[in-house]
Amino acid sequence: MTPTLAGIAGFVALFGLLALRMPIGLAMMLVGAIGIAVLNSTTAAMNVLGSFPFSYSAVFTLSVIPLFVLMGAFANVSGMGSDMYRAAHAFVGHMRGGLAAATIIACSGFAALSGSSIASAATMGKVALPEMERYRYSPKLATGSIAAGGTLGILIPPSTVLIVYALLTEQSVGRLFLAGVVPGLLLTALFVATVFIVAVLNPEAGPPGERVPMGQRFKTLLNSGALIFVVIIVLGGIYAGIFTVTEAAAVGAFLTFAHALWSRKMTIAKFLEAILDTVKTTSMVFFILIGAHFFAPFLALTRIPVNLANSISDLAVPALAILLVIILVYIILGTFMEGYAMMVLTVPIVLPIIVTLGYDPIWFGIIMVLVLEMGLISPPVGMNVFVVKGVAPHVPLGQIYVGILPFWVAMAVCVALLVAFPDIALFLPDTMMGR
Amino acid sequence: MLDAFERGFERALRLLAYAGGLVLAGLVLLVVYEITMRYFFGRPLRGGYEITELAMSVIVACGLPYTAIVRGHVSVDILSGLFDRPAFRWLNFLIHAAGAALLALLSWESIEYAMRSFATGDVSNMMKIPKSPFQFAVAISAGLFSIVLILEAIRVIYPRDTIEKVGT
Repeated sequence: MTPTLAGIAGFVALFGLLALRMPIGLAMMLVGAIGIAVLNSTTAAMNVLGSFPFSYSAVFTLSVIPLFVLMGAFANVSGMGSDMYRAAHAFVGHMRGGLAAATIIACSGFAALSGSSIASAATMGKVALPEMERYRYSPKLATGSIAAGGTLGILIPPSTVLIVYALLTEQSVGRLFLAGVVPGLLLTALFVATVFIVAVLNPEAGPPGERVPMGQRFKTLLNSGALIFVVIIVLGGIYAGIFTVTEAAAVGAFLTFAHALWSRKMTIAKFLEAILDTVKTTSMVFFILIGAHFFAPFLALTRIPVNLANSISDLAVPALAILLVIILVYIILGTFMEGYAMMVLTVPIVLPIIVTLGYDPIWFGIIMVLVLEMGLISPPVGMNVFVVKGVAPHVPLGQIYVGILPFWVAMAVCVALLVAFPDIALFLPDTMMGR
Repeated sequence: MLDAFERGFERALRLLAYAGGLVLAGLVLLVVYEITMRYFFGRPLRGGYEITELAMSVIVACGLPYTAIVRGHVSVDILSGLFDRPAFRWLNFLIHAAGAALLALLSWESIEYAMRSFATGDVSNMMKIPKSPFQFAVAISAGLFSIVLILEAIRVIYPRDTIEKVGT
């Protein structure tokens, strides 16, 4: 069998197994191991089976994943998310659509502690939804803003998705985190603008709340001081070079734990729940990563990624056109595939193309995360939408999707801006860490 | 019989996952201690790096089978309506059985890998911690994962009579 043919057979088998609902990590292991056996030797495949699970879990850099997930879980227990929401509420709640804008802003703040979109949407949903219902917000705007705001969790650092991308592409985690900051703030601004546009066009959608006096506003801001403090220590520590990313994650987990303990919200049951959730998320991510490490050498043996990149760069098509096709394919894939799965499956093929076309892999990572986020909130399989549905069981799924649509457009605008002005992502890492 | 075994097995795997969580909590303390020692006492801790690495393998090994039994591993659900029909039962069985077989093989190969590492005395760089116990832990974890998939394969053929509560 020629390597290319074996590669194609491998992909067909992989998609078949995935369609039959074999967990993605397992499917990549199976196809990867068989592929290595065919293209190299059975002995090589057996060695890989015996050694990879240990060698690819005992990795120092990967420890940032459970540590940041743990930080998010402790932050959740400590109620930092609701403090942040109350502060945002006090500042913008009296405006038309203000409560939905507050939800977005609070999501953005919480995203700086949590690397997961689902956790952000769940946390904010529980706090923000009852408030918006109290002020008779339209269910569309209310649920849409929570689902969309939650996606900020994986763009604004720390982000588990960016960490996984960094590992798959051998880029620096710190550099990717830096690159996510400005696009994250930009997307927050675009979301807030979307809320106001919706509320102006349809005054029924987001009636204004009560005006909170200035003094009161700053009092609530003080209450979310703990969150701001932790974010400054963690992210500031990384950028100032005081901590490595791993150390910052551990310090963050320690501080959020201390805050939860100090505010008397931490119980043994909650602690156990937080660590169990963290271990579960960690194993889920690692299993996919280990699977990806089986699949990658097989793919390299087939030479498909290199050949594909070469033949695409030989095409007389402008790089931008190819980039747009790739983005479009990602948006379509994202509608039905889980984000991590999509990333580990496609990055080995797509990244060589991107690099051959002369694009920056860091910048592409941010584009990729944005496109994954669009997938998180688009039908038929939008994880964030299901989370919001869990918080608001009385709102029909169809309505949630309609409510999300304007935010989805805002994300598309954000992607377009990033394609037009790559410096939005690259400016910060290039100036702070050098090229 | 099967129900009782499954419940007990799930509880055992959850305890294992808690153990992994405690290792992670310990890792947090270790790193914070390391930073404190370095900045305030000027005494950098040797070996933090490799302890972290080995701890990671323990955390993953402890979590994998629990995540499997609560169905926390990511799969693609696009065609689930189609394949949940009784006509596809055997296909479903085969998928689980194939997964179980692969993990059993992986577990076996991992044991051999750990044995070799034990025989050659493979240790970590600075603190000379033997690596084989951690490699055995990963092998055992894969074995437990395989058992979870065997249980699921049996479940495809003999579905549970009682309706279980949805979600975790």
